[in-house]
Amino acid sequence: MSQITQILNMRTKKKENLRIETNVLTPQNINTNECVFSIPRKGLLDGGSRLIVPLACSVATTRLTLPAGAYCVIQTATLRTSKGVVISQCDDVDYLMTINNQFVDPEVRKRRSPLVNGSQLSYHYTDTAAHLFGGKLCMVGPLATDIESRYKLNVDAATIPSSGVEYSIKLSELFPQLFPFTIPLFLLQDNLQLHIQWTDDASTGRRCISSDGNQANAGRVKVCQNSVKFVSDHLFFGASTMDALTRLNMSKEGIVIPYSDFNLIKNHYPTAHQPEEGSVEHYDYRRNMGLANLRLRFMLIHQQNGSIADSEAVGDNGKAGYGKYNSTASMAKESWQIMINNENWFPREITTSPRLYNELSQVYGGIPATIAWGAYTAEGSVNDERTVIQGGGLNEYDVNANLCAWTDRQFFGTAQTHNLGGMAIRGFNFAKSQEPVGSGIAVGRQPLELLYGRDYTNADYNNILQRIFCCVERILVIKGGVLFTSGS
Amino acid sequence: MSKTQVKIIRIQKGEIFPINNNKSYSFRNGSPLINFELRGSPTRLIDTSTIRLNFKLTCGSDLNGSNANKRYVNNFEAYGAVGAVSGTYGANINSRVGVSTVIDTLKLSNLKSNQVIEQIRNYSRLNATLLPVQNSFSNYKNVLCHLYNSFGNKTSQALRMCMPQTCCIPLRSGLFSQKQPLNVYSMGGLKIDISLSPDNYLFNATDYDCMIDSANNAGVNNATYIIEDVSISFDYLVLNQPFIPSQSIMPYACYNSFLQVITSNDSQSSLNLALSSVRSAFQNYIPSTSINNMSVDSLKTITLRNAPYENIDNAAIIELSHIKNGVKYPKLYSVNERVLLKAQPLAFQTHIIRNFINSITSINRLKDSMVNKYTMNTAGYDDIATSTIATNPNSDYYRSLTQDTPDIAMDGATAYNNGIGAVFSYGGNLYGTSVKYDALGVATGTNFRNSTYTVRILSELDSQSPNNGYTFTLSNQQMAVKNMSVNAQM
Repeated sequence: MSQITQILNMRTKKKENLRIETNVLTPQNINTNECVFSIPRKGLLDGGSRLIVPLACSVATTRLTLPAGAYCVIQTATLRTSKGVVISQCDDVDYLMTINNQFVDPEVRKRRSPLVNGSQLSYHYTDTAAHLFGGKLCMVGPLATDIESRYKLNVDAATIPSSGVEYSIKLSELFPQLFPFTIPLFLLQDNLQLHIQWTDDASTGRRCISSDGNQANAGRVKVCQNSVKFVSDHLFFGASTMDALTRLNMSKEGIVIPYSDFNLIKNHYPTAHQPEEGSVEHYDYRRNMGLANLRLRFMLIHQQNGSIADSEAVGDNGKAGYGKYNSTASMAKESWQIMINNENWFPREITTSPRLYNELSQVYGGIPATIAWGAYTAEGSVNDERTVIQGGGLNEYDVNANLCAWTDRQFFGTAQTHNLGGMAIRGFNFAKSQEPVGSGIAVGRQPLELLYGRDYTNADYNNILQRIFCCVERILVIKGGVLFTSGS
Repeated sequence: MSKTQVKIIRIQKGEIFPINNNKSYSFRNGSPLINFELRGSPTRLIDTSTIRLNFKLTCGSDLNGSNANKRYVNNFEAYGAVGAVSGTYGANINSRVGVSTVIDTLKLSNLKSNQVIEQIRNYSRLNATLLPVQNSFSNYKNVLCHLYNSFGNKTSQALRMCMPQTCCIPLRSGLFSQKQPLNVYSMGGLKIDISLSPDNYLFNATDYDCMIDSANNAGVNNATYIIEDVSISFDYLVLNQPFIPSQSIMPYACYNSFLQVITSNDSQSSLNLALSSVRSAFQNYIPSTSINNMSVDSLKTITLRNAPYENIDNAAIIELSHIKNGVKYPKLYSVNERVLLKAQPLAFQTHIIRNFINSITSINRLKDSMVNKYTMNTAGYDDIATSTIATNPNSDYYRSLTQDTPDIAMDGATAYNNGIGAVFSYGGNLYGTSVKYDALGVATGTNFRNSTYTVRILSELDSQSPNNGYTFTLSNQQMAVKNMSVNAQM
C-alpha cells in the first residue's frame, strides 16, 4: 500500500516529470435538478480538476450568502463509475464546504475567495452606530452595508440565464478526503462520472439573501446551464510509473487506495418550551449516531437554528450575511460529550467556547479554524446576574447591545448583532494522525452516541438541525480495471 | 520469539486538576500558586502540542465580597447611561498577550527529584514579543482571540473584559514545543507550577479607552482578578504495550529570562548565561516605573524612554553591540542608527528591527506579523490639529480605537507634536533588540557556559530614567532520563 501511496498521493509523491492534459467537458445531462459529467478514461484524475459554475441573479437585491458563496448551488456531489460503484458521495455538501471554508487563511478568504468561489467571510472591527464602543465585529469592512459592486452577480431574469459570473469549485473541495489521491482513470474499464445535484433555487436563504433585509426581495440565484463546465486535469507520468500502476492493476492484490469519506448524520432538536424572561431551561439529548464497525477520524458539526426546513425563509440570524449557513451557538451554555464503545471520550463534558474551539482546531492536525470570537460564541455578549445589576433594565440571558461583540450597524439592511454566535462550527478529532487509513478510532458493535446539552433562553429556544459530517476511513481497490470500495 | 514494535494505537483525552485545589486563585487574596502533578502511565505518552491550561478569569472589584459590592470592570452599560451604578472601575489587559498575562512564572520539574527542567520567569513579557511578532492582525481577530483571548485591539480587548471569560491557553514552554511526545512515566512524573502575576502587573487601569465617561472610575488599586475552574487538558497517545526505556536523552529548546536595568546613555550589561548552546537572545524594554504599575500597561514593548514616560520622549538607541567575552560576536560590528536619527527622530530603525524579528523567527519565512506602521511609531503623522486628534475620525489614533486597526504606537493621552504632525505614543510599539547565533536556522547555538554575554547600548537616555531590559534566551538543552529521574543539562 505504501508504494501506491507514494505514486498516487500528490502530497508525498517524489518529484517526477509529468505531462498534464486539461479537458473542458460539457455536461452529459443538465437541468434544474442535476448535472452529470462523464470523465474520459485517460491518465490520472487530479484533485485540482474543477467545476465551473456561472451564476446570475433575478433581481438587483439578490446576494450570495457570505460564508457559502457559489457553494450554495450544490446539494449533493457523487463520484461514481458508469456502472454505479460509488467512490464518494456527500449530501448537503454546500454545508461541508462552508465549514471547510472556516479553516482557510483569513487573508485568502478576504482577497481571493470572493473571486474564486464567491464567499467573502471577513471579520473587521468597528464601532457602534452611535459611534460608541469600538472594537466590535462587523462583516466585510467597517461602515460597509453591502458587498462591493464588483462582487455582485449580474441580473438576468430569464428562466435559464444566458450569462453569469463564473465561479470555480475544485474536486478536492467537493471530495476533500478523497483527494490528494489521484485516480488512475486509464486503468478503469468504466467511465467515471461526476454527478451534481443542485439545491432548490427558492428564495429561502440557502442560495441567496436580500441586500435590503427583506427576504421577499431576495430573488433567485440561477445556474447558467448553457455554460456549466468541468475542467478535468489528467496527469501522465513517465513510463516507469504508468507501467508500475498497470502491473499492480493486474496483480492479485490490485491497486489499494486508502481514503476517507463523509457520512452525513442529521439530528433534529425540536423547539423547546420558551423559558421566562431572565431564566434558562437546560435540555439534555442523547442521540444514537450509528457508525458501528467503521473507523472514525473526525466529525464536523453545523447546527442550524430557527428556519431549518428548506421551504422556510431564513430568520434574522441569517439576513445579515450568513443566510441558512448560520450555525448558532447557545446564548447560555452548551455541553458536549461523545460515547464511543461505551466509554466517554472526554473525561468530563466540554462546556466552554475556547475548549470547543481547541477541539475544532485539532480536526485538521492543528490547522486553526479562523472564526472571530463573536461569530463563534455568545460568551461575553449576554447578560449574567452581575451585569444585570450593573447595567439595569435588561434581564439575565438577554443579549446586551453594549456588551455584544457585534456592532449594531446594519449590513444587508439588518443589524449585525443578529450574527452573534452565528458561525459556531463544532468539531472533534478521534484520529492519532492525519494518515487517511489506520489513524481513526474503531467504533465497535456499540453505536457511537452524542450527548448534547443546551441551555434555552427566552430569546433562544428555536428548533435546531445538526448536520454532523463524520469522516470515516474507506478503501478503494482497482483490480483488473474493476473498481471496488469498502464501507459503502 | 519476535519482539513486537511499540506503536501508537489511538489517542485518549486526559485532564488533570491542581493538587492545591482552591475554589479560586488570586494574587491579591494570597493564593497565587497553582500546582499540577502529572504521573503518566507506561502505556501512554503525552502529545505536548495539545497541552492546554483551562480556567475562568473574572476581572472586577470586591469579587469575593457581597453581591451588592461586586463589580466587573469596564461594564460599558454603566458608562454614563446608568451612572447610578457606582463603583465600576475601568481596567484593561494587554491586547497582544491576552489572558496569558496571568502567568508570571511557569516551572516544569521532575516529580520524583524536584529537578527543574525549565523555568520561565516573566512569562508574559516573553509572550509580549513572541506572539505579536509571529502573528498578524488577522490572526488576532480569528485565531488568537480563542487561544489567548487576545484581540489585537485595545477597545475590543476592553469589551471582552466586561464579563468573565473562559480560557483554554497553550503553555509556551520549550519542552511543550517539541514535536515528539513526552514519556512522563519514564521521567518519574512531571510537576507544573504556575505563579500568578500581581494585579498591578496584569491591569492597565487608567486605560484611556476604558474611561469614556466620567461615570467610570480608574481602577487603580481597585481592579483585581480571580481565576476559577482550573485544569490542564491534553491528549494521551495510547501504546500497544508498555514502553519504559531504562535511559534516554531528550533534546529540547528552552527559554530563559534575565533582567537588567538600563539608565546610562552608554550602557553595558553583562550576563553569565551559563548555557552551553544559545540559539538567540532578545531584549524588550519598558520604563522601570511602568512595571507593576496599574496606571500603565506593564507589557508594553516600547523603545527606551526618558521620564516623564507619558510623553513620547523616545530615547532612541543610537548604537547597539552584542559581545561575547569582550569581543563583538557574531556580528563583528556595531549596528549604528546615528545617521537615521539625525534625519528623523522617529524613523523606522530597519537594521535593528530586522535583526530583532530574525532572532525570533526567520524573516525569510515570516508570513504573519504585527510589525506594521501602527506598531512601529511610523503612524500618526496625519496633518491634524493636536487638540482634535483623539476625536477626529481621520486620525490614525481615532481609527485605532473605533476601526479595523491594531493599537497605534501611543503611550498616554497627551498629544505631542514632532514638527511634522501630531503624534501619540500609546504602548502599541513592538520594539526590541536581539542577536541570533543560529545563523543558518538549523538549531545550532553558541556556548556561553564559561563566557559572558554583554549588550552595549548607546542611546539618548538622560541617565536619570531607568528602563528595564528583559533578556530572553532560546537555548538547546537536553534531558537525560534514567531510572525514572531526570537530569536537565543546560
